[in-house]
Amino acid sequence: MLRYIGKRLLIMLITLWLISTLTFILMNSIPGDPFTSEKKLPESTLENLKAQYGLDKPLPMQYVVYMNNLIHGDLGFSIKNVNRSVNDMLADGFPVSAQLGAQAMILAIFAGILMGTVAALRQNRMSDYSLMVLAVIGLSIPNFVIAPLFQKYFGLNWELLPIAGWGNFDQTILPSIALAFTPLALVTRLMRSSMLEVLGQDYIRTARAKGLPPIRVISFHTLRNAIIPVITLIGPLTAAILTGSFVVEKIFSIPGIGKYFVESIINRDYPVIMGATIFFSAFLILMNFLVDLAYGYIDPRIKLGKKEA
Amino acid sequence: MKKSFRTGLIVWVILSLAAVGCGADGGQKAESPDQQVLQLNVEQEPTSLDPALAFDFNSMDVVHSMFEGLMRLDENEVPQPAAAKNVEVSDDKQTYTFTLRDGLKWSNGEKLTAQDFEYAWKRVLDPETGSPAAFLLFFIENAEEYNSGGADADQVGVEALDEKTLKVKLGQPTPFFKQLVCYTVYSPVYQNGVEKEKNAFSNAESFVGNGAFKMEKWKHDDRIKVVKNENYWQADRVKLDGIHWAMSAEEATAYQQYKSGEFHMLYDTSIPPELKSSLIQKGEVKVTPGSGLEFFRFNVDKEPFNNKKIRRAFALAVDRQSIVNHVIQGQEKPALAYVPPGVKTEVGDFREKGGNILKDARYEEAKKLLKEGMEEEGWDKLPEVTLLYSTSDKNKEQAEAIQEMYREHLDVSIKLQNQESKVFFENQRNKNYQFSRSSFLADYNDPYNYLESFQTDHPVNRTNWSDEKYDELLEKAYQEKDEIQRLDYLHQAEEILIEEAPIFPVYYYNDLILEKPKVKHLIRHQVGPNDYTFVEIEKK
Repeated sequence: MLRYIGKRLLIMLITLWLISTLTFILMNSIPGDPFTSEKKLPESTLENLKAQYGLDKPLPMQYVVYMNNLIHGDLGFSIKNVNRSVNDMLADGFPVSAQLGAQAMILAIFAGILMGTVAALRQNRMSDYSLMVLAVIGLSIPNFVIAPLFQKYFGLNWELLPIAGWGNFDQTILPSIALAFTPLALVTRLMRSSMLEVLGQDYIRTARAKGLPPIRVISFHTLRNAIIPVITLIGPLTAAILTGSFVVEKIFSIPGIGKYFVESIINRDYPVIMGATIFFSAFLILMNFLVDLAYGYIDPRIKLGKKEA
Repeated sequence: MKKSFRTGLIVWVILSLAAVGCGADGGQKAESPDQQVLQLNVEQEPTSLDPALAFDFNSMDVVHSMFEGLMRLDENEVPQPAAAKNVEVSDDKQTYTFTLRDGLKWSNGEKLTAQDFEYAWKRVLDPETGSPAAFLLFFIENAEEYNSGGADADQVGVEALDEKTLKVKLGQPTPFFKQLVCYTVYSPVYQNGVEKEKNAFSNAESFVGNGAFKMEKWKHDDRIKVVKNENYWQADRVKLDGIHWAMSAEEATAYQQYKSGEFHMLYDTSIPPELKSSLIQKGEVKVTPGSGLEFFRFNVDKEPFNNKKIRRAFALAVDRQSIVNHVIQGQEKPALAYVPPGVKTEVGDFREKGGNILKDARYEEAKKLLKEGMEEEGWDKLPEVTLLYSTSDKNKEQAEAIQEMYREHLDVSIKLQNQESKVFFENQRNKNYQFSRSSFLADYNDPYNYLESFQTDHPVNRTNWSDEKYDELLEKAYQEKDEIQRLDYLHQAEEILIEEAPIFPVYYYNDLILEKPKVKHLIRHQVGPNDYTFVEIEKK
């Protein structure tokens, strides 16, 4: 097991290095630089600014400098937001994004499992149909449509919750629900189908036949097996929630890190592009790794690190 | 295994509750009703709150509330004494002597002196500072040379004669110098603070200013709060307890926040575009003249725009009124010259005096000119034309409208091409285009600022156009001491620009403002940041 973890960690580092190198090359090949705009800065000012950020050096040199700083944990300074270090930006924004993401994730998984289970147990009945209609709506309406509607009704018209901002718990409710909307629908559908499959298995019939109370059959025999595909989904779900957060954070004026990912590219803010990409990649890679580890724990049939027979 | 599964579930639930619980740290609460707090939207984290570096509207808006320059523009755009109590101008109009008020203090209570101004201005010009606004100080003697490394700081024509007197020597008469002195880049800075702490303006703790308000809290990417500065020399006249800026970048969100009363005011950058025309019709949005214009550039080195008549034909075949009415919909005025209305000079409005130079939608004349131009060049068929614009819905609609006008009235079909904005600017700057959408926003409110752009090889020219007479008129205007003569040169130059048509104007920009009626005494300027000093929020 330790060997397996060690190997995975090594692969993760190589992946991260490849991602950062590719990003560095791609980012420098887009036309325009951080100082391109309608107004043109005087040549001398431009040279000074470029020197300040080390952009006057040849690209391979910039790459070496960047990588060296990266190894030492220094992501450099933003060019757009003068004197703000990328480390600080990520350190300030990540807890916010993480809270939003975690709340959305918890909502999606728990409510999804619950709704999927209910739908499966009430298969082809009214509650099943209505839950599935809800799930289809959740899958087909993007969060940038849901979010403004939430703001208009819950925020402006009924004055139940704040329209935007971040700080108090009530400000986190609407964005969390908006962000959880699509993942929730995914989990519900997946849970329903996998639950139906497990319910048809012989051992469930056995469990019922030997007179176990239905609640025990469902919670320990069915749910436990039906949940495995949902665990598989957590990896991709994290990715979906991360990318969804770019939009939701912007709509709800949330000071998370989602916007850096998009805006840094528009601004050609090189250190922020690199910092955000590396951070997001590292996070995603790590999440996938944790999900793999979780498999082994939940499904003893999966043996990590052993060659398949 | 059963047990461990249950434990896992419990741990999961506890973790999730912990994640949910860690949210409460006192966010944006409604202010108590007797507090005079102006609530604004700065849209996004300001680029910088260092007066030397702040140069976009949002950054300057915040900076300007915490600094006061030697002078300040009043509601009629006339510079009035502010930190200075008076100013004397020499007969040759090249030496300005400012006398500071008695007892001026920094927000930390320390004495503010003329040396702080000298230090601040030289700091802006210091090449190490890399100030994007340094060129606004280039009118001072040797300033440009110092900024580009050709002179020492000592040679720059600004000197504090004593604690109260600042003498400024200009390189040439500059009738709008008093106006320039009102802008944020001319603010003083607290020398001790800036020398001690490199990034003194990057956080709330070390932020020292001399304006009506002082920094209270700056939560990056989230909000900025300033409170009344008791050390401001006329603090007794300041009614506001403070100003809060939130950062709502999404127009729809900002608009709903405004509707719910979270914001007192919104700019057109925060108004959802699809609502603009209906809000204007309902009278909710205030429309005021802006400080720039929308125009199109020709690359005069590329066929067919090497021919003046063809350029003129393209300029005349555009129906500006229809573009404004149907595409832009912000009650803009069609631009029939380059300098917009409202650019005030000592002898009145520049545009009123110059009148319209171009005519709108002259299809017959355009057709005739196109035919003549093609004959001159010996073309049977017009070379292919591609119109380049930066990607946006509005630019696209406008480009399509113009494409249709040319097709209908000139029988010319042009191609459209859009590019992401930085790619677009890069191509425009390298003159890698034929015909492109352009815009200009003034840095200070003088016709010279508008017209200087099209001198030969000026970085904003970008058309390859070069005209000796035009260059000569601009140079004369730059050196001229007599205001009437100076403006006459500028009027002549503008006529050449429109006549030769390396560009053609489309419409003058407007500023759209949504503002709660209870906000009083807010001074807005055509160019430059707002003045919140004497704002009062009326109680119902």
